[in-house]
Amino acid sequence: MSAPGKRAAVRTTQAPRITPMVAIAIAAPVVSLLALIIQAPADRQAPAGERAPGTRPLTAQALACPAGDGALVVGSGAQGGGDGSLRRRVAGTVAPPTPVDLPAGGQDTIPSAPGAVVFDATGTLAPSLYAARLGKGERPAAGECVPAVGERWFVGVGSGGDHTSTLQLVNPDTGPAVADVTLWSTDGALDRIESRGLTIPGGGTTTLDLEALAPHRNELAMRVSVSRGRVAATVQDTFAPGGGVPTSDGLPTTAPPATSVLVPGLLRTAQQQVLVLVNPGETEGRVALKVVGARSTFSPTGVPEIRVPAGRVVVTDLTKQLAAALASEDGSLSITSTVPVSADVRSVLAGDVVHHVGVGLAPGAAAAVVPPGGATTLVVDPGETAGTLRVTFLGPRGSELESRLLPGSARSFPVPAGTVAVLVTAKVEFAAALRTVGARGAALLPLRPLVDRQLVPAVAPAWPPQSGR
Amino acid sequence: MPPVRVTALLVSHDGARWLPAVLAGLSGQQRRPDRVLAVDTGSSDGTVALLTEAQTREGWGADAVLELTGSFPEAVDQALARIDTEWVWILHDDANPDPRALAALLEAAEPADGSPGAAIAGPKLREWPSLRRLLELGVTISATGRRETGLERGEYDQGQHDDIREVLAVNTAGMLVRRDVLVELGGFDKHLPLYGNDIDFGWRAARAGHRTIVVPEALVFHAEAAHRGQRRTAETGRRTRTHRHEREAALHTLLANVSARRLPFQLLRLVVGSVLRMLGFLLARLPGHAGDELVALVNVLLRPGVLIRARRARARLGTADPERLKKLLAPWWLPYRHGLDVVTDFASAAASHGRESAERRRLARAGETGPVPDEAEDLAADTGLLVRLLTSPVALASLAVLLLSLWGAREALGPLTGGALSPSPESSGDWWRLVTEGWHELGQGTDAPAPGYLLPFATAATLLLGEPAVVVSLLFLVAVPFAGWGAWRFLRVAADLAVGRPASRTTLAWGALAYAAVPVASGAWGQGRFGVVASAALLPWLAHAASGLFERSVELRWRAAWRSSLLLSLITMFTPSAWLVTLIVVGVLLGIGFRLARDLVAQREVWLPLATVVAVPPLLLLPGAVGLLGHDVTAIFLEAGRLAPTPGAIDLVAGRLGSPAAPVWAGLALLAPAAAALARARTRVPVLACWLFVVTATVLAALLSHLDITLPAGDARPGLGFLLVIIQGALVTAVVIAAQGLWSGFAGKHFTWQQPVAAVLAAAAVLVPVGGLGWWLTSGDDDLHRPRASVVPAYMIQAAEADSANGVLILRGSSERGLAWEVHRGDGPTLGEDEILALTGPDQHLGDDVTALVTRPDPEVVAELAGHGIAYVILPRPADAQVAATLDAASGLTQASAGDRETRAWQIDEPVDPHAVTGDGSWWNPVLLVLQAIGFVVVGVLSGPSRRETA
Repeated sequence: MSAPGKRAAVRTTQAPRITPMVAIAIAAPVVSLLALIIQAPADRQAPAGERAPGTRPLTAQALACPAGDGALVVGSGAQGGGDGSLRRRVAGTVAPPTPVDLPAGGQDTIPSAPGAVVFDATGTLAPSLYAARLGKGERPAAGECVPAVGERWFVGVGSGGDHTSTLQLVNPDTGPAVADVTLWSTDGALDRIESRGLTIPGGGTTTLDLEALAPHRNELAMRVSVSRGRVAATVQDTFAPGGGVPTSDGLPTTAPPATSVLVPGLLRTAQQQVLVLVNPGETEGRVALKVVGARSTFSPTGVPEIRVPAGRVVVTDLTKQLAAALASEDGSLSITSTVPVSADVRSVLAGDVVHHVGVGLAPGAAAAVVPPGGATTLVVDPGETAGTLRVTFLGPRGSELESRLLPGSARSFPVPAGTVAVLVTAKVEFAAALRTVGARGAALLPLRPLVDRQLVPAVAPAWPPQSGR
Repeated sequence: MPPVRVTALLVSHDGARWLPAVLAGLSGQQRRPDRVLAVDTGSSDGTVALLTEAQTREGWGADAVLELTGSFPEAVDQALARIDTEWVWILHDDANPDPRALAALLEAAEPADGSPGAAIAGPKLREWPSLRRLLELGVTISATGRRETGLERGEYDQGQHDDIREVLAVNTAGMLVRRDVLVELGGFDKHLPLYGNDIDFGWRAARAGHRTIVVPEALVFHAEAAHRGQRRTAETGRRTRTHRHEREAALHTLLANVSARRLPFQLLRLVVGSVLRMLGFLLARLPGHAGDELVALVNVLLRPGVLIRARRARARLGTADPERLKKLLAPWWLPYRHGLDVVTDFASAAASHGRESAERRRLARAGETGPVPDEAEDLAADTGLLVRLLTSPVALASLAVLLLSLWGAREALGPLTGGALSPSPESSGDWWRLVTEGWHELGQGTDAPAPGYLLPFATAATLLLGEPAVVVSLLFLVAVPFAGWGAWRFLRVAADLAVGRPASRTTLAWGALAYAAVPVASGAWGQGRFGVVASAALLPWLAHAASGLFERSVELRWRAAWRSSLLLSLITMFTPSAWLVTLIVVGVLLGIGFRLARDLVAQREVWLPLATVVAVPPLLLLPGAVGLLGHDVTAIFLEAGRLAPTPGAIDLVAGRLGSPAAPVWAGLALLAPAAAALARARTRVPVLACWLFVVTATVLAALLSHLDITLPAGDARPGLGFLLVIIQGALVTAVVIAAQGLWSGFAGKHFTWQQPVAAVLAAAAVLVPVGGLGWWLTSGDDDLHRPRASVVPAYMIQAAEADSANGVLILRGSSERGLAWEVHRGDGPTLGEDEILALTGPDQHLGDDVTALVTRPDPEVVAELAGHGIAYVILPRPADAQVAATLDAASGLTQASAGDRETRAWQIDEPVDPHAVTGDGSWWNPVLLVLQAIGFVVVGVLSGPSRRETA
């Protein structure tokens, strides 16, 4: 190989001109360069990115209602015909299920159905099912029926002498379920309580008195997370304002911790309005409050910035401030925090306790049963976008109205007497609650989004394969 | 005492070449034999004429020359009838006695002082014609049938063995034997016509109580013509099957003479020994000898009658004193020492073969310029290793680089996984199963071929006491120094070939370091791309072997071809595109050759070795190559291991495989000197040859990068790792070649623009290894880690290992972002299984069932899963709450315990289908495996050093 090289060398030194060798020497890098230019860009060969889930109509739905002796109201937000069935059974018993005759889009009131009732809907009745247990006493009261989900937050529960809460856990499936209960108090997370790994037998129910779990705590926040199976959790709260007569009402589940929480449908007048906040995180945060009024959102006077230490429950009395702010208009509390918090406003009206909970913003349809015992108002809080709102008052004399929802201002609508349930539909995000105020007290039920479709995860073989180690 | 009488019995066969000297030696004896009897066994040359002439000249007597037919024992037998003297002195036609030979033999055999003499006496045999080398001073036989002389090979006679001593036997050439003993023992064994009859005779004499001595004072020069194959007889046949006859004789001698008690043991030892020797001969590229070994064994064992008769005849002679016999026979350990010697010889032959072509050329040059002074060589040889190490800058620098690279690779001191590297399996048996079995119980069961690299990995793991993890660690530990060492050796040859004089050490050191940095700086090391790492470490060795293709000697060219093909096969196992690159380059080279030098390249000995290099790897990779035909053929472009990102154009040319890798600028710095290398006219041709590789690799990369490999499991891109390595290697080589003599070229010249440019280029070149290796040693940035505990709980792994039908369905991801499923069998996907799984692809039916499982898990779906061989379902943490809730609600699934709280697991109640993943591999898989094994043995033997070099 060296011989021709020498020859080439001699030739170039004698006559510097473009020999074939020189031409090739120039061509080689040029060809390489061209090849590099047309080369395809780098390929990560990583697993395909996110695959959005699909949806399909919900074909089975179970709602668990709190135990009680009041009437049950169940409704269907679905439209159209088709096959579907609805049955009710009492969790923890072997009694056969009772069929419920409910047309799609209709409502039914079951006057007496004691125990932890579970509604099992299939087919066309499964989508958009909602239900609630109404109070039987003289004071307005109501407890929502809930589907089983992985995590529930309840803020403003208690286990003290004049404030006790009861947690009801229902397992709608046949296999056992396991739930963990975590409690926070004003002194921090209660980690010495035996609240992990509560097993609820298949089809059964477990009722947990918080007093037995962590006694002598008036202000608590609770998270119920399900580690095995499915569990529907509801809370019944009993409160004796000022050591008076204890009154009981359902404590609806509140929105999970977030930096922005909306508490719709505050009472305009109340003996007591207490904001209970929990910061389950590990860093301290600051919370600012605003009131979303009928015309604008404003900061109520005299409300300082609230400090929420890590892992603590903070209780702030807002009776005066809210009374001043809501004197002339219906409104909601908008909570902005530097760390995720969960909130509840506990009000006392005429000696009756009522809980206002954080409600998440969502578009679409939402419904709630109207709590009995007084005049009911629907309060709708807007999200960031303006849009049209359709309100349907369901009942024997059903009516409908349309309204415009503007950011920054809450809308309230009086609910006609005789209305059984209210359905709100919007293409934009909103949060809403039904507030009933009577002479003997008040009750509140937040509107819950109606689930009519089931998430179908996109399933694909793992590629490239993972080792698992 | 009456004077004893001696007959000299000269047995000849085609000995005209040596006979005149032998006859002269015979007639020059101080003690002339009383009678001479010459027996010729059918010579076809002038032997008989010479004998007749001597008969008249020396006056031997009327019937002193006999013409007989038959072997040596028969000739002696027939001649014995005509001998009436007490002693017979047997001479061969190639055994020339010293004048004092007979006198000394007689004196020793029948001492005048009445001390005990001997029945048989033999002379000291020295080599003829060298005359100084000792051949034999009596012989004995080892338990393996080897003829033992007790001498070193080629030992010079310096009087070191000059004592009369008793031996088992003496050679028949120059043997003085009492006539009555010959008669008593029945002469020589007719079944040992050519070889070994002397040992057998001596052994029988010992049994009969006779004494055999060797008399060093008596000297006979022996040509050992028959042994060396210089003589052909009816017995040895047309082809000189010397080895076979020698072995047959040895086996016969041992089996006929050994005591009955030891016979079974002896038989077993000979059979096993023969097989081992066969393997040894195969390794030493002596297939003829190996065949002889086998034929000899079979020949002896197939004639038990002969042996039985021989043993009966010997039994009549009585039994020798075992103690005495033990002394006469070779010690038991001797064969093992010989074995060790052979291994040492073979190793040194292999090492000396490694005497590189460059060195051969240097020697050739030395021949022209004059020899190196002896003192210089002696000095080098005498100095101790440590002194040489401490006084050699190259050795010191190499040691430093070695230690640094081991330190840099310290993470590999332990089991490794991460990036493209899957965890190693438990034992080498797992790898062997993948290699040998045609059906793998992975996924849903597959007949996809196992990746080729498993064969060397499994072999290495077996050698490393069955520890696959050690193989991987070792690869990652030594890749850098091994690549550097290979690069040093190759670059020395390449630079020498290119410029025709020894390469400068500075540039060699730079080149070796720059190349050694490639596997780590590219990120292949840190990203666990073991295929690229292995190929990078092996490539310079392949290049070095391939440099032998330019040798002048045809034999060396062929050997280089076999070695290159073996190394190319090995590299192809790790990075299949290596074969494609070689195919293209060989095609281009041959094409250019045909255009420029048709006469030279058209010669078979020139083009065929080159073609062999390309043709052999597909044959050696037969099971994988053929197995792939039933699957996606484009999968051959995949690199070893899990899928890894492919580099873009800039990364490719900078020698980077994406992050984590050394900074890109350190790689791009190589381009300037490599491009400038083209400008140097003197080395343009070899530098262009390097650029041919660069062009081929970049063009191939451009084409491959647009290729979409559609595997059943998903899409993939061809691996460009090997192309990157070869581009880097070629660029480094180009720079090293062009830099040769550059410094001396500038020295003493006037300052021009060239000096600063060269300085800048040199600085850029230095950045390459400094940046690459420096990054590796300091950053510690890589994807490698120790294998973590599997997400699959231990009890499930146990169940899965016990029966591969107990599969574990793993669902990763969430409902919102999508779920990815896979099935683990055994201990999960380990190194070597990724490629099989990639070729297999998931079962569509199973996929549908999994979708149904996470949406509406009715009992039928769950039962289907059991039918697919799935016993457990796992949601590794963080388990998706919705999917978990869905599965919790499903009937037919029972919640099972998992390793941690956030991982969810279920057991499927229905029993699994035990035959869910079983299957049969293709019938031809074993055939291909056998062919592959044979191919490796043949190519391995052909690439080994030849016998001539061993001797």
